[in-house]
Amino acid sequence: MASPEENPSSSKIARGKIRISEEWSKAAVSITFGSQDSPQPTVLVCGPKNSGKSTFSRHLLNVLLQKYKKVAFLDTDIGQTEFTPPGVLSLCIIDKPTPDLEIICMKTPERCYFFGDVSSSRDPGKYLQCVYALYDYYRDELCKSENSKSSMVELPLIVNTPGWIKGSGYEVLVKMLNYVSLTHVVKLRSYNDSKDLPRGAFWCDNGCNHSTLLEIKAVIDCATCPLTLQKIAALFREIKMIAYFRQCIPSGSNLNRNKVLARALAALLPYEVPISSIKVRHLHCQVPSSEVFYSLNASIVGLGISSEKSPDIHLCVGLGIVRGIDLFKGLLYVITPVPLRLLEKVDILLQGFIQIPQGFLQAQGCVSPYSATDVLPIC
Amino acid sequence: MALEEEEAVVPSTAAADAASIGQSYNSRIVPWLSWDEWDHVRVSLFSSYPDAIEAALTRVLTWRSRGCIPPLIEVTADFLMAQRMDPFFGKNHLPDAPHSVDQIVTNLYSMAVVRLVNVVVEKKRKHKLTSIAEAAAEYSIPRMLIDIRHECSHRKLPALPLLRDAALQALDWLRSYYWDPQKNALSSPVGGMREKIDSDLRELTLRRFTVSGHRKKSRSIMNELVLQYNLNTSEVVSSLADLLLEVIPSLIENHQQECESGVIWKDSSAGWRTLINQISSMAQNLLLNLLTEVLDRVETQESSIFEAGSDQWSSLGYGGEAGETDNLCSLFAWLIDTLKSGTEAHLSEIGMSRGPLILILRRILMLAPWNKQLMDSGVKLAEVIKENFFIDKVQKFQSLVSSNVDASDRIPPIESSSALFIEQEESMREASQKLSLFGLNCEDNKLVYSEDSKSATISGKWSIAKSWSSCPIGMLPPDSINLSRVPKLSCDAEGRPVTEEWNCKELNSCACKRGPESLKDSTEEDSGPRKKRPRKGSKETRDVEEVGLEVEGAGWLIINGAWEQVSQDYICANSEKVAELVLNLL
Repeated sequence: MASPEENPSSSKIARGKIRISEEWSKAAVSITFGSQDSPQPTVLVCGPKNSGKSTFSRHLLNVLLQKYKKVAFLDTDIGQTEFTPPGVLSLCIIDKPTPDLEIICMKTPERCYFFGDVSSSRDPGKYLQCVYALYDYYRDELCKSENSKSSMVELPLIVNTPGWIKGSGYEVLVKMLNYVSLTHVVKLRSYNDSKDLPRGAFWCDNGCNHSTLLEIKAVIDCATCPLTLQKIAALFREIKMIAYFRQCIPSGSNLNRNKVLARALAALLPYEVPISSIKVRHLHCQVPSSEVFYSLNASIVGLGISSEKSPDIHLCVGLGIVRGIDLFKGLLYVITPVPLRLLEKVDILLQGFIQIPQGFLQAQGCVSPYSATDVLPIC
Repeated sequence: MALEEEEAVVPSTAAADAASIGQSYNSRIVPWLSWDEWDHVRVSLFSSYPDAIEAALTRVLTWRSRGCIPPLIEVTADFLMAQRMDPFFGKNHLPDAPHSVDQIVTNLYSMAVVRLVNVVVEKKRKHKLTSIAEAAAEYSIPRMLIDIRHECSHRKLPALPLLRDAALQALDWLRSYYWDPQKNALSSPVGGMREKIDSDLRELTLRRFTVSGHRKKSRSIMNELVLQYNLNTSEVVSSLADLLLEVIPSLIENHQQECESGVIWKDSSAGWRTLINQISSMAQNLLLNLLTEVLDRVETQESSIFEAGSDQWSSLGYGGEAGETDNLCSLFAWLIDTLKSGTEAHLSEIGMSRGPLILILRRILMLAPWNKQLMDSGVKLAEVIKENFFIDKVQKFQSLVSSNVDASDRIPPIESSSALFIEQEESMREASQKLSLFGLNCEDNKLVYSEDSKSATISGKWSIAKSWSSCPIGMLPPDSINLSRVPKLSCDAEGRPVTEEWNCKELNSCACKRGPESLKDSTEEDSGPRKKRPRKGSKETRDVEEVGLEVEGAGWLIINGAWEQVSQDYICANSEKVAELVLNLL
């Protein structure tokens, strides 16, 4: 998030500290304190990759918390999640500001869905279903108030969107913009017009836009090679995943290095669940039933709760690593930071394409067979 | 929901840390559990048995679902799937081939060619500087494929005969570019593990027992061995047992001389003990595995002796075998002594793995109660883990034996052994009674759970595992039944475990260039991988397999560590064998 490059039109980015440009802080303030009798803000932040959406969202979050007690954060960027491990669409309630924008914060979401991939391209329909479900929950459950006199609980919403704005990503974004009733849309512009979203309120055809559109410039020139961006994104995902599973080890242990964490996880007492009482489903491809366990072993799964109301998408309580399968005892062994009382409700394991961090498979003295040393680099 | 909030600082060092882990080992995540699995798929894909290819393609599908499959494997599978759909290449797999099957197959082939060229070229090509054709030529992709890719992208799809030819060329190229080089690049040869382990062990002992050994090198060999041990426990254990058997006569001799003269010899017992202790501090349960291995060999020895000369109880028939069994028993005794004299860490290990040690004691009891050396070692072991029940039994037997002392203590005195036999018959009768009860239970189709999983199901679905020892993610910790830790993951469509066997020797010999005439019919029955049912099944069980029906009253038993389906008749026919199993269970 910090870059050594300087940009003349906004303030400099010093190493280790992100400073918000004036344009950004003006935008945040106008959203929060705009006009006194306006309803609580519902803001959507969009823009191309690496333009600073997450940074702006975090900043806006802090500003809103100056006025409101709690703010809801709907994270739809599954590739670069904010408060959850990657691959998860989540709705979090934040009540504490986070002044240092560089720290990774892991929070437990109010409600989340496991999508099983880092981009919505594999199944835009299901992705949108999850987004709508989360927004509906926000609107119907969280904004209801106890007494009927005051109409709404004050809970502003920030919606963070993926940076993929070409092709089917663009269409997904348009649908989201039309579904959520927004008060403000913040569009970040990069230095390269071709990478940007179209000008104006591009999501409504007949000019029926009821929300305020704020266009602000990205602070960093994001003209890096796409391959490097990919690698950086993958690295951040891995860091978030490691931070998530660090929660399995009781806090207070000395886990500064990832190698120590890997060894600790290899020795951790896992949860066990009988294979007969759990279903396994791959979210994006069909696995033959005789090969299920080959596919499941040593993979990251979403811990889902099935319900009759929504057979397609499953509520998720967290992620887990299937660290071993014993067919003779009929048991699955799962490592997860989710506490046991929440696990009781889990009855389906959702497989996806989220990769287990390589470091976990390479604990010293406990190298997993899935980490191979003789792989030719040509493939 | 109230998980603790976690704030993790992400300075640049943490990022570098995460990145460097992958690089320091120079390794990648792969979707296969072992290189053996990869090799089986390789052989099956390029074989000429449709069943084998089918199974391999299913496995590649599974690899795809894990998300880290190398793209070249996917591309190979794409071509083979296209060929499978093509009626030209053998049995048509589409039940009612639609009229448009040619069009479908054309599309499949074209897509496979385009993917092949893109996957290989796109990664490294400097964007827009060179054309794809130029970049592809660097990898010596056949020119035909490059042209087809161009046609597919910019013009219309080529004709089917051309595509068929291209598919064959593509498969050949893939084999020479990826599959064969990868096979050659594997440092530990698949299937040739044993030689490597042997040579490693010998080198290690050589270095340990020479005065000026390079610490670093022996350290790295040790690490390699431990890695091998984790992946392939039985091979390493058996190799170590072989090595020890070679030196055990001299160890015993030297030990005696040591005691007399007080001089420590170079390849002394103490030196070997330290080595074993060192290895077992890094390799879990090594001593346990060694003891089990030695017992296994004693068992085989004894059973072969029985089979060879069951009516000759004289010492004439023994000769060489007696020497070997002697060695084994001495090795057993030596190992027990090593166990006893172990360090504190060992003794705590003994405390943990008490179950398997009791199993060993039982085996000694069943095996050769008249073998004094074994029994003495057993008593020593029992004293260590404080198993008084065993010591009582031994004393009982010894009192029986000593009442009729014979010249060779290997031959059981016939007169007093009759009491032994009567006792054994009694217990067998009891066991068969219990077994028939068990069979009745099976008729009600109740599944037999082992003690452990019972308690897990009572308390609800999820629970914390009762015990665990550190093991890599993807493997299981060692326990009393399965000493090897790599999990067996094959199951049938209902999720019940089966033993899968890939018949690679035959496939290897038949791997040849694929063409329409070289494809054999799938009527051959012993080709390709099959899900094997219990080998020692009676005829009834085989009928079950062929007909595919569930025999009434069939249940599931653990035989040799695997759940296997047995029918009522099988139980009755093999009552003795099964009685023995039940004895072990009880």
